[in-house]
This record gives sequence, structure tokens and C-alpha cells, in this order.
Amino acid sequence: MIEMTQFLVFALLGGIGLALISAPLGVFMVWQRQSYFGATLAHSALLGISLGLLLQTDLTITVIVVSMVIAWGIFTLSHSKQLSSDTLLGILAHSSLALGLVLISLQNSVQIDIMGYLFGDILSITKTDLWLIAFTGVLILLFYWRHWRDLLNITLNPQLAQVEGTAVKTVQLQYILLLAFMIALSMKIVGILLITSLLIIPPAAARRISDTPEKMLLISMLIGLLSVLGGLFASYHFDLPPGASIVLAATAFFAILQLKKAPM
Amino acid sequence: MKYAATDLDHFSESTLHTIPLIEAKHLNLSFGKQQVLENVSLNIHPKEIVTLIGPNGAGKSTLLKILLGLLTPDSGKVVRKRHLNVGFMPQKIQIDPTLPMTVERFLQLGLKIQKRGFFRREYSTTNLEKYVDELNIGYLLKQPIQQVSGGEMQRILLARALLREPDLLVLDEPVQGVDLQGQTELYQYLNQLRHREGYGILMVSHDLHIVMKHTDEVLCLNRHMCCSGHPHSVSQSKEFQDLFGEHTEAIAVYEHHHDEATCDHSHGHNHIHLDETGESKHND
Repeated sequence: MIEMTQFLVFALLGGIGLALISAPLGVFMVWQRQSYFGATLAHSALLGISLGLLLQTDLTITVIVVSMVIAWGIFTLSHSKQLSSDTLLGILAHSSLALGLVLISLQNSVQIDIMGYLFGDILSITKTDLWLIAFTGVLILLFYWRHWRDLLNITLNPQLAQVEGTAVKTVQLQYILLLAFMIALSMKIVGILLITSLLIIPPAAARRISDTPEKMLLISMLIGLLSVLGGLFASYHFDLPPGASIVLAATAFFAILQLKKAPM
Repeated sequence: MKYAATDLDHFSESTLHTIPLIEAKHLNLSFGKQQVLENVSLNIHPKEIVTLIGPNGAGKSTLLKILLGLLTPDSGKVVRKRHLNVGFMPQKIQIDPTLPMTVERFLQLGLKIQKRGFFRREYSTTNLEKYVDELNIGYLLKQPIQQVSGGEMQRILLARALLREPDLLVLDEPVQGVDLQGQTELYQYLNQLRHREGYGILMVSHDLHIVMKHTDEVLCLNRHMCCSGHPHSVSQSKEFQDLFGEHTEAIAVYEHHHDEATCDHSHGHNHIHLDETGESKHND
């Protein structure tokens, strides 16, 4: 009984933590039309898992390092030349996913449940995971405190922002690395499906009842939080898969709020 | 084919003795095998209006990006006056409808930073009301920025550029999609500004006649500077006529009809006039 409540409490805390830290990253993905970027990073995180298994290194750390290297690669390539970033993301997402799968299959002894990484298991969150989430939260808080206005200006028009003196590339790179770090970390904890959903769906839902960027951020956090609570509650009472229940709860918020007309 | 950078008699007396705000020397840039800019030089002084014209694909936007520091040329260099403050008005900006943002907030986000701390910054807000008033955009302040019309957006973007009290104002196709009335008003306003605030103004245009009325120097770009100088002399040059063809007759309207010896461009805004034949000869 005690164990039972503990894993539920951990799941709740972890879920709420992830909802809170994914909202600030998610709103800018929505405003900058980069929702595909998160998916690419999530796919390439699988490459990190297979590399970690191959090299027998710590999985969490390997995934984080690989994701951040790939994020940096996407950033550099998209700033240097020619290929549209959409095409680039498509190529990177699927080639790194394929490479990850091939690497895993080469290791005969290893049986790995890919489904586990797609959907994760929020009920298996450990104390270490909670600390990592809290640490990421602090990083994100500091970054946004310092660069909120810069991020808004970059979203409006990167060239104008640069002429006006914003360090566009530095801020963008920091944002992308934070995003990669957060996705890699939470993918191992709650799976690709849940994390990409928590990034995109709450901000999309919040748009209908927000008339400033700040309100949209706060409402996204609130919707993410309520989705985690609602999803876990439903999962506990009706014996449903928790990750998927959370995603559906967020989608329900989105659907309901679509009925409302946008305030501006 | 030569650029008349040394041809100083086109400038008014006052600009002769001032240091240029920005000076580009022998810029070259290629994208792959395609040479986009070939040995392009120019300079802009305070209170001077320079208009960059040229056909599509002539490298106007590329040159602008180099001057703004957004692109690095393959060779050549750009010298800016120390602490040069640039106000930039982009041609158009697209803002995703998912971003809730009023016109007012958009303008506030452009305010100049006065004091920069690690987490806190202070902004100078004194100019906001002034330019909102002068550009008549007060009625737009509470509206979503995504819902304003083309002409309104131009005024908002201009206001944002002016808020920063720039030394140099750079305008990329400022009158695109604006009607003749609006164009005239805008040019009139810019002319007032350069006298009142002393801004240097660089604008890109492919409109050939209205632009030139207040311009001190026209630069005609077609990968290289094919001709430059006072509007009058440019319009008569063979290179210009080769580039723009027969319709260049319309150029005649920008002539000032005043004696430069006694009147060094310092008259007020009342010499903007709409040319009756303007619309029919308008070309772009």
C-alpha cells in the first residue's frame, strides 16, 4: 500500500514537473511553427539509446548527449545553407531513427522494448528522475527570465531582432539545446508520445483564451498540469495506460477550447 | 559601368564635410556560381536620402543585408560610424496567428534598451507616444498585429524603427502595396524627419518616379552599380535608360525646379506634389 502511493506520488510530481517545463518550450515551438522540430529530436533520441546500449554507457546521459549533438547539428546546418529546414528535419529524424534501430538489432544479446520508449512509463519515475526534472526546470527558468523578450523579438522577425541588437544566434542555440536536453530527459521517463504532446497540445489549447504571450504561457502550464492530473486519475480508476490518458486529457482541453472564439 | 563615389558635386555642401554613417567598399558576393554583387561601393551621410533602385534580382535586398550586418560579403568591407544606431523597416513581416500580440506590445518590444543588467533591462519609452501620434496609428494599438492592413503595417514598422532614434534609417521597399496618396504622405514625412532629426535614410525601391523627388542620390543597381548620382543626372544617363527602357520618361517628374545654389534641400514638406500622370506611368 505504501509502495503503491509512492509510485503514484512520484508519477504525479514528475508529470506536473514535465507539464510545467514543457509549456515555455512548447509555446515558442507553436509560435515559430516548429512542432516538427520536437518530433525530430525525439526520434533521434532513440539513436542515443542504441548507442548507449552498444557502448554500455549510462542510458540517460548518452541520450542527452546524443540529442544535444544532433540539435546542434540541425542548428548549424539550417543556418549555413540551401536545404529547407523542413527537409533537413525529415532527413535527420528518420535516418537517425533508422540508424538507432539497426544498431540495436546488431546487438544480439539485447532485447529492448522500443514501445517502451515510444510510450514510456510514467509510473516508473524514480527519485533521480525527479531531481533531473527539477534541475531542468531551474535551467529553463533562468533562461526565460533573461531572454523572454529576446525570444519574442526573434519570433516576430529574426532579422529585425538582429538589427536591433538581439544576439539572435546565441539565444536560438541556447533554446534548441534546452529543448533537446528536456526531450532527451523526459523521453526516457515518459516516452516520445507524451513529451511531444505536452509540448504542443497545451499551448495550442491555450491560444483560444489568451490575449498576451505571457497569459498564453501561464494557461499552457495550467492546462498541462490539469491534463496530467486528469490523465493519471483516469488511468488509476479505469485501469488505462497513463501516458496515453494524459495525452487524451490534453486533447480534450484543446477540443473543448476550440468551441470558444479567439479573443483576438 | 563605373560608380561615381568620388563624384562629390552631386551632394549638397553640408554632406561634403561629414563623416559617412556607413560606407561600403568594393563589395563582392556570390551564391554558388552566381555573382550577386560585383564591386559595389556606396556611402550614406547624415541628413542624406539615398535611394537604391534596380530590377528584380539585381541584388538590392542582398546589398541591404550586407549593410545591416545580416550577411557577410565574399570580399570588400563595410565601415560603420562608431556606435551607429540603425533603424530597420523590413519589407514585410509574417507573424503566426497563434502568437497573441497587440500592435502596442509589438511597438514596446522594439524600445531601445537603456540599461542592461543580467536579468533586468530598462527601456526608454519617451518616443512611443510621439511616433504613434505622428504616424497616426493610435487607433490600432489594441488590435492584433496580424489583422492590420498592408498600409497600416508599414506605418507600424516605421514607428518601430523610429522609436530607436536611429542615426541611419533603412527602409526595404517602404511603399510596396501602399496607394499613391499613402506613398506621398510617407515620403513627405521621411523628408521632414531627415531635416528635423538629422537621420540618414537609405531606401530600396523599384518605384521609379515618386521616390526620387526628395532623393539626394540615386543608386542604380544591377549586380554592379550601373549608375549613380543626383536623380536628374541618373535619369539622363544611358545606363539607366538601358536598364529601365522607354518608360523612364516618367522620371522627369521628380525634378525639383528649384535652384540648388540658393536652396540646399532645406525647404519644408510643401514641395511634395502628386504628379497627375504618375499613376499611368507607374511601373514596377
